Amino acid sequence: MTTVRTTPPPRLPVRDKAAAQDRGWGGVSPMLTRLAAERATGVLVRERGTLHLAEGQVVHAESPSAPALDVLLSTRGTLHAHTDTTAGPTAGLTVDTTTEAGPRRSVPGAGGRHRDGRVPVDGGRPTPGALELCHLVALYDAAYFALAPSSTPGRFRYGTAEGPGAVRPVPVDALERRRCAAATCCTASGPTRGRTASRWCVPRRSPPRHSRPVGGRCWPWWTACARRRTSRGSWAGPRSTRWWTYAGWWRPVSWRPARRLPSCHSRPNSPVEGTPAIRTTRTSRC
Amino acid sequence: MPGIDECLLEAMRLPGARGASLVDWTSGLALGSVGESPGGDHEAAAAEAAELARLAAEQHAFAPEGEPGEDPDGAGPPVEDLILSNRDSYHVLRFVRTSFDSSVFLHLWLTRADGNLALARIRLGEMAGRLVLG
Repeated sequence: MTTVRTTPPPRLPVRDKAAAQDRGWGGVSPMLTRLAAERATGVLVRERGTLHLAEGQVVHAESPSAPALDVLLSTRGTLHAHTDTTAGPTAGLTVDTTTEAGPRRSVPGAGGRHRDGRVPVDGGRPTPGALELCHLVALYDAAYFALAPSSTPGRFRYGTAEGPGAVRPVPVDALERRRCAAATCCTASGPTRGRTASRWCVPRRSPPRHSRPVGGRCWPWWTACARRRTSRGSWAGPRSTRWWTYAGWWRPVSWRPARRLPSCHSRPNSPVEGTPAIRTTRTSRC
Repeated sequence: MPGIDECLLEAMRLPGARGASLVDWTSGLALGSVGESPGGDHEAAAAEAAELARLAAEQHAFAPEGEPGEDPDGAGPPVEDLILSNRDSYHVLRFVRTSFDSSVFLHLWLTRADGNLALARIRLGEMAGRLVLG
């Protein structure tokens, strides 16, 4: 009599939890962790923002949910609108307020691409220390939103280093650890208890009625609105751009990368050109 | 002064300094930190210090609107610094006034035995000015 033996099923692959614990911060984005480990250079496009990596470190981040460097600089007049900076090595940043859709950013040269760090430094403009400070603030703001939990997988395009090399690159693990620390700390106590991490750091009191933006929550249009409508003129009237951002008083505009984005993990030598494929196109709703 | 790190290292040269950091009080993130941290974790300490700074900068009792002596540019809260004294240490929080849209402060942690509070307050003010104005 023959006995039929069934082959036992193979063991299912199990994720190595010890390795995940070694990372310490839990891994906001495993892909980003992997890219940092291999010291990759290129652009990581996630659902809510992009991170520019050079040698595994983040040199620039942009997100539609966070004000960019030029907006931070121009909000209080450090960098004036219509500043023509197209000449010389400091070319690349102009705040255009003449469009029908209201104020928006436009960057001459580089195919309309946002070339961060090309802000004029001399001629009474931001000093290197101030620029480093502002760059870090903008980077952390954008990276916070870019590293938010997403419903779609991220894509990475290998290429040349983007952004300024001289202005303080940030290690990926520091960025992820800080994001986790801030989200955990601020959601565990205080007014944001139990809410999602994206509403972290909501101010303790609601903004006063006289300083609320009118005409919708669209940004940066409401910055001008709030500034105009506030008669008191003190700093507490027109809140800072970043205050409004974190308070969740405006919703992110629809934003998506360029349609003809090269396929995932395309190498620099692949037939797809490494020319700019990411455009920060924003649709204003005001 | 070229940058953030140089500013923090100069703060650490103050007598009795144990740790220094530059914190953004809107988001609670540390933009740079050197030395020890009060709780052993720079990120958590920065987030907690940011809570304190935000409390002082946004309450009407400490930062009233429409004061005659306020900054004409509207560049920040009228609060200049916060000093918190413990049994064994001091914390000095100095707001950095910038001409662009930011909300950062310098956080210095001093031992009480060696620290000179008046000197630290004056020097931090100078450092904050140099960091932005060059």
